[in-house]
Amino acid sequence: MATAAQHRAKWLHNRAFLATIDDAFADWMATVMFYTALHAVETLFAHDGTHVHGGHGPRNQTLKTYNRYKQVWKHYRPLFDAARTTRYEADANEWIAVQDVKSRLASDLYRVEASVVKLTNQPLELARLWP
Amino acid sequence: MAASDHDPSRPLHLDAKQDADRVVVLTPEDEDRFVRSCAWVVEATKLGISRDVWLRELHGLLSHVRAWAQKHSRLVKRAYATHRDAQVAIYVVPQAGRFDFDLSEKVTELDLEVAEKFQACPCDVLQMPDKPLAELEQLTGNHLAILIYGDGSAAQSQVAP
Repeated sequence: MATAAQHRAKWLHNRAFLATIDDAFADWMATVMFYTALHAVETLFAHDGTHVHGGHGPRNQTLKTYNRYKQVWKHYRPLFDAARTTRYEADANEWIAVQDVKSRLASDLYRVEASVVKLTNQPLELARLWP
Repeated sequence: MAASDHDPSRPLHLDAKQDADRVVVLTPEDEDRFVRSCAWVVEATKLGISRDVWLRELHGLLSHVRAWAQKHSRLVKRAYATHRDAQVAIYVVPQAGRFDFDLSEKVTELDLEVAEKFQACPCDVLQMPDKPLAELEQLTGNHLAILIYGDGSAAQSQVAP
């Protein structure tokens, strides 16, 4: 089981990659955005000692069940939703516009990250991905 | 067992602790014989109760989603229920024909409502493109079992049994 520091490193690693993805790949932006959020969430779980066994289903249920995580879930869910369809959807760029990914979906990522920073009480400067 | 097998006025009492190793013989109307341990009978009864609760909650969940979809019919074209990752998955087809951020906020509210109200029946709610059933099945990796809401004239006739 990875430590909070390992998840945090992966969170920042994915975030750095996210900013390099070309606008032609909104589907990959949404996907990397989700996995950035996922490692932010796993950082929080590891910090709290919350053990979740299984994949997305158990993780999602944990987020929506416990009051401590509900605010995270409110902004993690749209990322999970958008990424899930774009990963398997042939016309992903028609399903979600790159402008929406970089503004509205990114806003959900920022809120997940802000909640995790607050709940773990570990200061972290996170610049906006796109001006 | 605390009661006579042939006294219908008294209950048959099996105690999971005291009778754990006792053998229970059940005879159904067809004269078959089921020989089980007391512990097995207790577990089977628990499972039956759990199944009843789950089915009741599933029915409530689907009714709740249908009412929600009707309320938000301006945004929702169809809603399906299926299963995925050992839980229920609700797929909502947006009227917008693409991922709808306004609908997404409503979906999040719905998701939290049903998580709190139907705890025995965990589910995730996701938006889904409006596609022919075969493509949706490919997309979800599953057979879409139930059309909960919306015009099923095109889709429902294709739903797999």
